Amino acid sequence: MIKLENISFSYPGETILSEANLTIEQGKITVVLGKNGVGKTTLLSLIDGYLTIDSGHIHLEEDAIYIYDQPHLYDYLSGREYIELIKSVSANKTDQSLDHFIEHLQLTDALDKMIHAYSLGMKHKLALLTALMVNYQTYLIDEPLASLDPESQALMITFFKAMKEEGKTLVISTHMLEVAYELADDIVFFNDLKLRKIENSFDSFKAFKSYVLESLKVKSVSEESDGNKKIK
Amino acid sequence: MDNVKLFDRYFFYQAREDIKNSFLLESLSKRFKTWILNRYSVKNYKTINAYLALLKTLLFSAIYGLIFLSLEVSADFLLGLTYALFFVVGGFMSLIILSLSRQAIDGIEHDHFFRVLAKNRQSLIKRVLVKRLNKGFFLWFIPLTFMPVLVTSLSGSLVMILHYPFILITFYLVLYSTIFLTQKLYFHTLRNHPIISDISLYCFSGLTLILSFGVQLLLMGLSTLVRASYEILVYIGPLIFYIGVLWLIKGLVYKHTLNYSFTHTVIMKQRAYVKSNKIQKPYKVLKLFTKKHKVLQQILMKDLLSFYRKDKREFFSLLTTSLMSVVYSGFIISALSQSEGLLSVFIGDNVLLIMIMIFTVFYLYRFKAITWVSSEDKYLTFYQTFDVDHASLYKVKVSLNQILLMPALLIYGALPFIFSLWQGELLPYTSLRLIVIVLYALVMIKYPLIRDALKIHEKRTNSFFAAQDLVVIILLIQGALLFGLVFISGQLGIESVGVYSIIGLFIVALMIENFHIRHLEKRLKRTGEISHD
Repeated sequence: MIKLENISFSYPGETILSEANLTIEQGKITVVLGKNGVGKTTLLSLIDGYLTIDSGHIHLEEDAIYIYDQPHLYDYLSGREYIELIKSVSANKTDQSLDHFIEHLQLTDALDKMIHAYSLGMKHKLALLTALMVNYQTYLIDEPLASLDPESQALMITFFKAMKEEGKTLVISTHMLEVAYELADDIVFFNDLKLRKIENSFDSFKAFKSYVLESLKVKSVSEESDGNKKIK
Repeated sequence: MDNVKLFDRYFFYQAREDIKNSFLLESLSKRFKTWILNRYSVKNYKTINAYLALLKTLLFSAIYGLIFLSLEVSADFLLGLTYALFFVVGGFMSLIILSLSRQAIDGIEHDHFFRVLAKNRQSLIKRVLVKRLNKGFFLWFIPLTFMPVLVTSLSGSLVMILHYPFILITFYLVLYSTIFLTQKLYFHTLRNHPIISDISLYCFSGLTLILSFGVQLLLMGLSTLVRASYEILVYIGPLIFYIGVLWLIKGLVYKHTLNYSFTHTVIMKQRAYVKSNKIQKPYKVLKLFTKKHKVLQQILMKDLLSFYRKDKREFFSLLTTSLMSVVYSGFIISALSQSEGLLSVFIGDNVLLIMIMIFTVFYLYRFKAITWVSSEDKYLTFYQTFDVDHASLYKVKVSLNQILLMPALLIYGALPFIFSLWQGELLPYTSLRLIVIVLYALVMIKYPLIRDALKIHEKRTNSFFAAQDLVVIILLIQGALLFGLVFISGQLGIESVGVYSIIGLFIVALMIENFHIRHLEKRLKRTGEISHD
């Protein structure tokens, strides 16, 4: 479980979060939804510990790994060499399970090519694959589907769901509403320097969509009995 | 797991890439480079790197030894010069390493490998910092200082042999501790004060010099005050104690520092980005290079900003080269003012000129991802919509390279010339060498660039100008010049006639080459018009 308590964070001249709270539950897919520049990447970086919060507390029960939206993967290596590199610092995954993931992500033919020849989508797949090799419990994934074609998007969505079945916690940022609806157990969004969380149900999603379309203004937010917040 | 072994593969891949891009190996022999790469593996890369460091030390030693031997100066002057070299090389090395330690890994904010490491991130950064220090020390500091120390010692200052190991040890230990001790300061205390942070870099570099070379000199001074048989003990005793203390500090700082986050790095990057957004107009000085074409001015400014912001390391190494050319000019001025014959000056001058030209070629090729026409490959069609054709883009790139590379060359050419204004009899020689250097530099900078531009323009890929060719040309021309001079002077005994006739021939050759470049430039423009039709 990840718990954010009264966290604040600012860049020089720009406040992103002010005393925001959020609870992300283990074994679920939580989608952070929002327009470009709202602070999705910053939120994931704060959870990851890459950026330091100005105040508040972040409780992270397990190690998390962050997969950036434009992963820098050393262009001068081949895909196979990059896998060897990650293997040298992890060695948690057996070759058998690794082969299975490579096949599932349709990377087999690309492994001997140099990474600089990869498309962004391919880079995302390789980043995800190598992140899985280190076998973390929590995966923070920034805009994983933005650069993929529809077929690869469908493949990745299936892959994320399979990861969830294995008990992994996934926090995925996106600006694509449909993706959020298809993937998420919970949806998190930014509102007045705070974080709001809603359950992903047809009704709540419909309400959220209306909220986005009506100039991104939340009319009212109420808390559910389990502590989650839901839009009326 | 031992962290050194944990990151072996990471460092192996980096070292292999360094070898692939090694200009030195490329210049020596492509076959030798391929031979090394075929044998390079994660198991033996450290051993091979050690041999390459030795090779580099020998090469630099040969060049610097030749320079020092060619200078006909007194032993005391040579001793002073060697200490000056320690301060200059040491000062710049401290400055570069300290400034680089503020961003341990290039592109750290996007680096997937680094993100994957989680708890081991700090360990990797520590290893990177130490590796960088070792690299600077073994590939630059020792190769640049070893031979001067040897020559100085052999010329009568035997005490230098005793000092050198102590200088190496104290400088390494002080710089090591400074790198780690300043981390918290830069990543916490000064995170919102970039200007103070920049200024403090210079202060810490100075402090590093004082705590290493300064302490050495102080102890030397103290030992000379004691005129007794135990004089040497007064120097060595406290120094060994001092080294012991530094060793303890080194261990402690490695273990306990670096508990910071990477926020600072990201914020600093953001600040640079915001700053670049605010720049609306190009700097006025750039108008001198690109006349009144606004798009060309913007392209030039974009390249300069990109060079300054993305490649700080390169920026500092260019500064180092400019500073070194001041030092080299100092050699020439001192030789001119002391030496009786022009021949000895000319030999030293020639060697230094070879070095500076090789540095120029080195940078010319090292920066080509920004400074060549081919670097704009994907934007060429876009630029054409603003009437920027290949010929004008080539000119912008020439201007960019001149801005970057000319200062070092001009300093080297101009300082002795300015000095000779007060020494009338030296004026002909220094004027001629200034003309030669400027012409030489223009050819060096323009020739690869025009070949690159023509290659892009005429869509040729089969023949291309290799980096080592230019170095070989420099060595051939300079070698022939030196040989001719020595031959004429030796046979006929008319040094000055030899000097001026050879320089005259050299100028003619360079002017012909300049005309050849002009011809190629016209071809670039002419075919450009044809392609537009």
